[in-house]
Amino acid sequence: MKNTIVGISCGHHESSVFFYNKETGNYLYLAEESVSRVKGDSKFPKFAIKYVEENNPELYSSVSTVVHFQKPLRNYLGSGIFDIEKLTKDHKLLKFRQFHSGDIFIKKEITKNFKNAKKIYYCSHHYSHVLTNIAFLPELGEGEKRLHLILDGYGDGNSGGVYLENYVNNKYNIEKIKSFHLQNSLGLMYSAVTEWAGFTPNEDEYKVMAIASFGSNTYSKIVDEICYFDEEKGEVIIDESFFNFKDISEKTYKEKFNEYFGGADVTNLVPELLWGSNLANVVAAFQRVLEKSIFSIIEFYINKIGINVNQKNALVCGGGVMHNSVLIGKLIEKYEQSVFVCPCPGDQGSSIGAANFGMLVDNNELISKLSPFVGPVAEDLNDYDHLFQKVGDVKESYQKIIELLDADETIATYSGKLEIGPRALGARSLICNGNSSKAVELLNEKRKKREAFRPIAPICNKKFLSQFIFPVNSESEIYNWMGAVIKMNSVKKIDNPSCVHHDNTIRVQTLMERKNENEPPSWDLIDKLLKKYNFVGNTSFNIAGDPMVFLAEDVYINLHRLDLKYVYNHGILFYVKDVYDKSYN
Amino acid sequence: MENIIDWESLSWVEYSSGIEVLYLAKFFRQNKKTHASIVKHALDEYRHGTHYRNLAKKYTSINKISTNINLMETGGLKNTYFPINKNELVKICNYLKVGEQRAWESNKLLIELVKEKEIIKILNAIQNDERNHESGLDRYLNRYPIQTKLHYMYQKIRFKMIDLLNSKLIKKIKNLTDGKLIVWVMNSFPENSAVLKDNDACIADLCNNKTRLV
Repeated sequence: MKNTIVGISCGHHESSVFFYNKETGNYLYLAEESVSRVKGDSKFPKFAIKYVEENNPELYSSVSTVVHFQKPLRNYLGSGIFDIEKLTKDHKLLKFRQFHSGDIFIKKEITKNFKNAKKIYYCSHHYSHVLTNIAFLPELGEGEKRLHLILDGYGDGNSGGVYLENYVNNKYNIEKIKSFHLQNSLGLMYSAVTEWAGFTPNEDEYKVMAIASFGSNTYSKIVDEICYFDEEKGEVIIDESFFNFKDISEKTYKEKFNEYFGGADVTNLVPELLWGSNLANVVAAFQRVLEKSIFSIIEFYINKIGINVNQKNALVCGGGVMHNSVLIGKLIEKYEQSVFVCPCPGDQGSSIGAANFGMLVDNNELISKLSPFVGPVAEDLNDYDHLFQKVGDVKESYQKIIELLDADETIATYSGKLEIGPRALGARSLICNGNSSKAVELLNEKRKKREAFRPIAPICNKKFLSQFIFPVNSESEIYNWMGAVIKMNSVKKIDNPSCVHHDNTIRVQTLMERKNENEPPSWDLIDKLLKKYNFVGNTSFNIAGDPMVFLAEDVYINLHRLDLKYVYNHGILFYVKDVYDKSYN
Repeated sequence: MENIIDWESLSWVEYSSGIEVLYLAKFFRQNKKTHASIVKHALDEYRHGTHYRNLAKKYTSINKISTNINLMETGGLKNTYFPINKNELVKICNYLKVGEQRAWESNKLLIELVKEKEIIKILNAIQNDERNHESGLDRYLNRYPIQTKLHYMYQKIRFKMIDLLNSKLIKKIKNLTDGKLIVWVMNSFPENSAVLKDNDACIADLCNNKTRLV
């Protein structure tokens, strides 16, 4: 019986596909980059679809409805078409190319890849974000309401919006309260600052966020005039003369930005030199104004709509801006458990929202309470004995792991269902003894080659975390997927400062209890390790600039490229064979 | 001389090649020996990419463009055939074989140009790898001599055409003609006809307009 709904997200950032079968409750999420191996792949997810067709033919052949996560023509017309006479020739050329290579003709791609699908729907971009959030939340109870704040770079001609989800008198509704203008895009503003800072826009925003913590408030006054919340309009206003959000052939910041803030020096990004540098001061001012603006928006709409901030998950945030874990940490400090951000707030997760829209239209039901582990199950490395060699049984594997971690070595995990979102949550991670500064630094700087200003995020359990962040409650679900940076109190210090940011904050993942097969078996291992080490150092299993590992071949390639030897897979430790001959390095 | 070689572009070409060989490996999972050698081939390509990237960092600079665009445009991944079906393996192996030959020729030129001994050593090792990869592909293709002959010729011509289309002169002419035409089309586009209909005030409106593109 054909009863599978597929959501598709593509065209902006990372594309993805989400299959949901209403009858069986089976679902599968897959990011295109996982299969195509191109980081941030934004093309139509044909590799991901092909993977599902080959590996899960039942799910693939039962597709009845396909939903795209935005309105293609609205999206195209929403930017760079108005004021066309003032825009450059290169912009017009690029816009034309976008027309015939963009998602306006997505129907053609959909029908080519899903020959038997009978229905194709288009959901609005920001509604897709709202519906993605809903897929990770419990259903609303009678009389309850939730405020959804969506903020991203750009989608369907807007940069975000405010939505009210309510369930009153047995009637469910999601109502749009406000759309934010493209020119006032907080996401594009942050990308412009990223570009000015010499990083790759739409990729390196997290680095800018990290550098911001080294800055002072030198530029706060100027930046407060460039970006501020206008109560009359109910939205943030951004001064157009500093930024270019229209012409896609030009830089996203204008010359005036350089005149006010000078240049950014990114040649030596060591913490000692970052303190009080012009780069850090400028990005700090923009990080602060982002936080200030979002707090103002939230306060304004909470009061306007009348949201009960004591209700759990009453304030739901989505869109790419909500990847900013410093901002989310501050929201948790203020609103505690009423704030919710799903593990994939950006466009990559919007395929889930699109499928949820299909569920609503076709079945008048919504997907809810998903876990972050929605991907395919990691392959069994026993099937690849020509690439990997078993170290021993479960007991022997554990002994060897302890031996390795005690010696400050790093091991990889590749186990269970794969996680959604940009962060490794234990299924595809590189882990080390989090109590050892040497082990953490070795993993961070030597293996992952990350800048010293970005310490790796550790895993610990809730009870342990509560000692360090008290009075802030450690119960927020957002910690389960490493979505927030939180300030540590000054009373009790942790043993290993290598996991702590220089401003005494920490981005931690709290280990959830493994309830079912959806959560990775590596959590049982990590749980055991936490009894010994308190902290387990954790970072994503990939080389910087590559997607996280997906198939056994990726595991092999990445282990060699990272110069690692061991991988934990479904309870067993494996040794990677044929370590590359380094004679000509 | 080292300062004027586009090491970064070379690195993206090698990374793209690594990705393609990785795609290929998945078709040979049943034959463990072949599978292992193809996975190692992919690893070699990634490693070459890293060598070139290190040279780019040392002698030139790295562009701040996304990995996605770099792999597609500079690395040429947009011209790939993947994802493919199993019956296209001969075509793909010929495509990769011509790629290996081109990489060998380009490396040969580099070895003649660069002065630093350390770099020559690396390039020679890469050169050696490229030859091994080609022989690996030949071992498979020799089973299909007639098909291989046809596909090989076609791929040679295809790569020549891609080079031609990427030549500066052709690109310039294309941009010029495209540009004039597009500017004319876009400037004569009546803006009010593109007024956005954003009337999804609530989820019910959106459900009613579920098949609308705007």
